[in-house]
Amino acid sequence: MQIKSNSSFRPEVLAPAGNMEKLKAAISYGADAVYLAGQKFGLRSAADNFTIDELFEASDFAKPFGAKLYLVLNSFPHESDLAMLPSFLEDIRDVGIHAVIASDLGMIRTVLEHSIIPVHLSTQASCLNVESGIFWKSVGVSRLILGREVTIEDAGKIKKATGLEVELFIHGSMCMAYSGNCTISNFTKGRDSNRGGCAQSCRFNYSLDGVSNQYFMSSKDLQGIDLIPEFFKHEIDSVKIEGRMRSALYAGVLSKVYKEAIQAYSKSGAFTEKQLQEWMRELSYVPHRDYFSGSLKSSADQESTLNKGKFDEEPHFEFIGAIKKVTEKDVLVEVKSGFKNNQCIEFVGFNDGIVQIDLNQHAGALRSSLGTKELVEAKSSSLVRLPNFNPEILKEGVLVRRVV
Amino acid sequence: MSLIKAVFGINSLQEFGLLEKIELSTARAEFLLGHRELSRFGKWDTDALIHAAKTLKEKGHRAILDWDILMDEDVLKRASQFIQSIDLRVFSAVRVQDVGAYQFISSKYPDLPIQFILETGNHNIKGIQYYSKLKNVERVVVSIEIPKVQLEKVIQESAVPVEVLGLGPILLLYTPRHLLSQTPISSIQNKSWFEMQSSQHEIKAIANTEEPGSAGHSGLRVLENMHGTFLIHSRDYSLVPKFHELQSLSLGAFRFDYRSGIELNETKEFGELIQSFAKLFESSENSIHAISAIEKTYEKLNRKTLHCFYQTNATDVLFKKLKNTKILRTDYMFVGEVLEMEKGSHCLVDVQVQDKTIKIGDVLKFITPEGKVRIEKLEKIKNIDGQEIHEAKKGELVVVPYMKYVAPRTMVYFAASEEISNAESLV
Repeated sequence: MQIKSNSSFRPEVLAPAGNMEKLKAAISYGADAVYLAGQKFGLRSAADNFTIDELFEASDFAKPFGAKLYLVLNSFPHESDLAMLPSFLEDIRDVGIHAVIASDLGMIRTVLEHSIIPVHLSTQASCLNVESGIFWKSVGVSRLILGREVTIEDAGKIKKATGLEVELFIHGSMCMAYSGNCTISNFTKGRDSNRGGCAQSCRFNYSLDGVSNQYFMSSKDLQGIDLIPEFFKHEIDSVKIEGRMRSALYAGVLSKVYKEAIQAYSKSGAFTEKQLQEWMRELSYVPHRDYFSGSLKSSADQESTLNKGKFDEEPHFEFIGAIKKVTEKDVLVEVKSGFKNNQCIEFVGFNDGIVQIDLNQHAGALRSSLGTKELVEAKSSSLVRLPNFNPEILKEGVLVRRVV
Repeated sequence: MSLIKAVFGINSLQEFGLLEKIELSTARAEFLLGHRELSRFGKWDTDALIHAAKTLKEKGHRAILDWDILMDEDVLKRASQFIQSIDLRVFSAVRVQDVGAYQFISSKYPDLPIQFILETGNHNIKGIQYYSKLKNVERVVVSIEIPKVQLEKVIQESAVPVEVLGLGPILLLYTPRHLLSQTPISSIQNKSWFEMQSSQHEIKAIANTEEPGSAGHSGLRVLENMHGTFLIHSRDYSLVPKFHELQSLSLGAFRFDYRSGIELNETKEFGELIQSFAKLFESSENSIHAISAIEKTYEKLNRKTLHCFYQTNATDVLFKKLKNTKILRTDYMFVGEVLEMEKGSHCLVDVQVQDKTIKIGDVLKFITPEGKVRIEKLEKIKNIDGQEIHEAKKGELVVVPYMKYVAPRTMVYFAASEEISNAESLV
């Protein structure tokens, strides 16, 4: 595909960081920025999230890469929640957070009054139009993370009209409701969906007027890689990948794919059909529901719901581990999901380069963590040793996967 | 104690007519009129809307233009063009939810009062107060998830009167997507985009599920119209029994709104409910009878109501159990995490301690994923290559002897002195 770019503008790739391992994966694989949450105030209460010490550690890791950290404070706080915010802001003052992401006006005003950290308006605030953007600018935010109902073209208009940065989701799970406008969990399960307790009721199998097997509220997943030229054209400042609950493999592979695509387009004003096919192949192998382009081109409607099941059944990669330590001779892999000594595995390099190994062809390669025993199987929650098949590519943090 | 205003969401002058026999003081009554193009559940067309607003104004009541939809850029453009084509002087105020709608009205119509819907989120005083002080805002409509104790403070701190839903359906989800049109419910499949945008477009259904753990998700009412799809609770919301209590808190307005009541609006019982609701605002005796009358009508309808969060809102309690807090790291005295355990052989610890080392003689506390606690003194540590070492720092993997119960994801801390002095293995 040859589509010319006329500007030197480049959107940042913003990836999810549900915990330290995912943060390191996202940044190592190319994310320009990550969004992460402390143990309070975020909407993913089941994620590991970051302690204060971990936030400092995250900042130290990100700095050499020039990667930015955006701290998520996007829940809708009640009075007692908000009371804890000023002391939290004091605790993180020296971390080096580049912005906080917030949706609640009380939260936003508290941040602006108690710190100098810029505020990005969360998608939870459902900012969908120019007039809303003007309102939020007057409140004091510096970037709008627009609602997922906004097209790329309209996002460009909002940016021009307000003078604010704009950010759009480009990949990941989609809420069915206007963001912030779902309280199903609150009233059916007593769990506040807007303070991290969403029970994913929209994904249930319903019957409608007696007609069963209706996943009528379950949205397909967003995937917008072929629309990257549009993001450039309308100068969208940041492309956001959803998924703080997803695996490190997800965070790493998606950061890699979207960064490669944006760099290729930025450098040469185009990317080839072959490149696009390869990226789409990689994206298709990360576990996902059926993909669609959301509202990026035009309003999502027909063909936007899953309607037939939960996850797709195409073969995909399974995240089996990450390299924990490297020597000249071998690598130590922290095993997340078991694999056997007769299977094919892949080490996904940070830059170009995937090292595929058929363990069947390397007798005795799989050994215990201390190196004292040959193994038939690598069990999850263990460490194993493998030879360092390619010192150029195999580095600490490189993710390992297996085709399912 | 100021008098609460009665607010009625109505979709026809016939519905207003049901109230004509009630001695509803014009100083206390307001009527929300929603044009089909501007309101989620409004059914007025332009001529009827203007006629109704004029009629109400002549009778001394306040007609409020209800503009409560959320809007992308195209929809806001269409809506604002429509707004500018009608004479807003017949309306006493405009009610909005989209902040873009607020921005538009406040800049183009600087003398027109605005009622701000804050029912989505906005559960703290700081935020609500900010909205209440915005230019032209005459009232804020707050969430039914705010409990009584908090509501009282909101009313005190708000710069303008506060309104809550008094009686009506509970909206659970609002999406711009047309969800029912995409399902195989008889004749409604494959409607064109244009048909779905028509103001006449409407589909209803009842949703049930038998997924495990899905109690509470039955009998959900689904309504699709030109603005998207709405999911509505099987029970209605009622603060009617709390009317006098809310009056003593100086609540500004109390609302009756059945415009999304899918099957209720055409029934005799609807008339009984709206009339009884109006009688709440009469004398104390009539008011008490009205509360009882509303309960009786619901019994006749074989329907239930709830006021779930009015007494207390503990919706942050249950989801704290989503996570195993025993493996949740805390920074104080944190050493690291167990990555591997081989029974009878060893445990492998990933040392993550900041600014310190762990060394022979240190006493460590191991908290297992099941919550068991072991206090152990480090007598021997090795590196990953099996060599004995004296200490280890952040980023290193150390091998310690196997300990019963200690499994992967066990969190490791320096033991506190009182834990050391009590130490034997606390298993």
